[in-house]
Amino acid sequence: MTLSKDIIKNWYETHGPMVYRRCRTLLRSDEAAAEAMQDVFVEILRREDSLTHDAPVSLLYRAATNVSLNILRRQKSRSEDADGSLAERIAKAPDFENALVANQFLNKLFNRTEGSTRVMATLHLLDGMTLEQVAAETGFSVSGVRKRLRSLKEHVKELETL
Amino acid sequence: MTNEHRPKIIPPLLLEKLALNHLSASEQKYLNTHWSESEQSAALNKLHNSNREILATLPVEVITPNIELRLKERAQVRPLRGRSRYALAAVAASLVLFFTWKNRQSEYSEGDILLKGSVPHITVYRKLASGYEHLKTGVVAHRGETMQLRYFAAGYPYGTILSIDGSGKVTQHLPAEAKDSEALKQQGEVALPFAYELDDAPMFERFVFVVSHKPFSIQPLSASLHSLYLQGNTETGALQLPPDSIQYSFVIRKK
Repeated sequence: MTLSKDIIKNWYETHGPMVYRRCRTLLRSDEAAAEAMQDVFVEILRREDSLTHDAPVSLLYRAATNVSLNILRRQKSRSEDADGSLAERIAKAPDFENALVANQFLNKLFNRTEGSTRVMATLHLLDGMTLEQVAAETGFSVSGVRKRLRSLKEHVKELETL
Repeated sequence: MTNEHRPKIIPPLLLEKLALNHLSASEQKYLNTHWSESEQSAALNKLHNSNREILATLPVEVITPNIELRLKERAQVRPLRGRSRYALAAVAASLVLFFTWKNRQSEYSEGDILLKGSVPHITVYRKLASGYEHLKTGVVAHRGETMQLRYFAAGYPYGTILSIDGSGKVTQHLPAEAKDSEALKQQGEVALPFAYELDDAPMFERFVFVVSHKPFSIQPLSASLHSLYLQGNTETGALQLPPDSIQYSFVIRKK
């Protein structure tokens, strides 16, 4: 699929600052955020169904979170204040997504939004969203979100109260 | 509105949705429960200011072509699906394209890991009594202050840096005097050899960094800048650019 310049331009003008802001918050680097932002748009716009998605804001925000967490995951650890270390700890928590590959079939079957556990943790712990709001964003039930977040408890102590 | 169990911040995603008028009824109710209308309004104003700053720093005409280029490059590297009589040829073709793509990335030094696909831009530093201050576009500066310009070519081989002030005067910064574009260096941020002192021209100074994959003449760009002044649109007007080129602007406001 070849996208017109206008589509890319419109998406960037409308949502670019949001995506950049999100990446900058997590990566804490203007240059890294600019790079990550462009990767987010490439990841989303290369999927044909993105253009007719009924919630592009949410889609892009989650993608920006995911891309940024993946970058943090690949980086070496550095000393941080409380928020920075929390994002890093979430990013570097063991990969539970591979263990859930089998569920991707179910996700597609039930047309559920792809729910990254790390994205859920970021929405809940860093952004202050309630479990109900995280569930609404990711297409999971509240109990499903809680179950996923508990799987990170060992590595992200802020989840101990769940 | 109640402050009981009030979260520390408005969740950023909800604020972004509020700005775009995409909140659900329950989400709006949640915001109204914990934050007053004036608090929401203040947060929105801050967000809108941030949007303007980001689009000025990472303008549409710079980022959109970059995204387009990355989409095209991504489309050239296709994963294998299923089996076919041509599977071996497809694998070979994909590998050739993949390594071609990778080799283009490895043209640049290892330290410039973000160089490929990054944004060409200029950075401006204000000389202080002790050292330099990194400025952001839209910063306020004064007559007599000295600025150091640096450019980041992001892989574009040719470019020029011009500026135009509030009185319509166009100044050529790079190259110093030549009539055609400069061959740009690619090793990270490159400082111009001379600092620039702000004069008493009014209102602002707009620095424009134009880059291209081909050499180009500078005079038409100077003329285009000046015509923006004549149209009363110097600060944000779109330049007439050479073919296959993009521009990045940095504005200093004067007091």
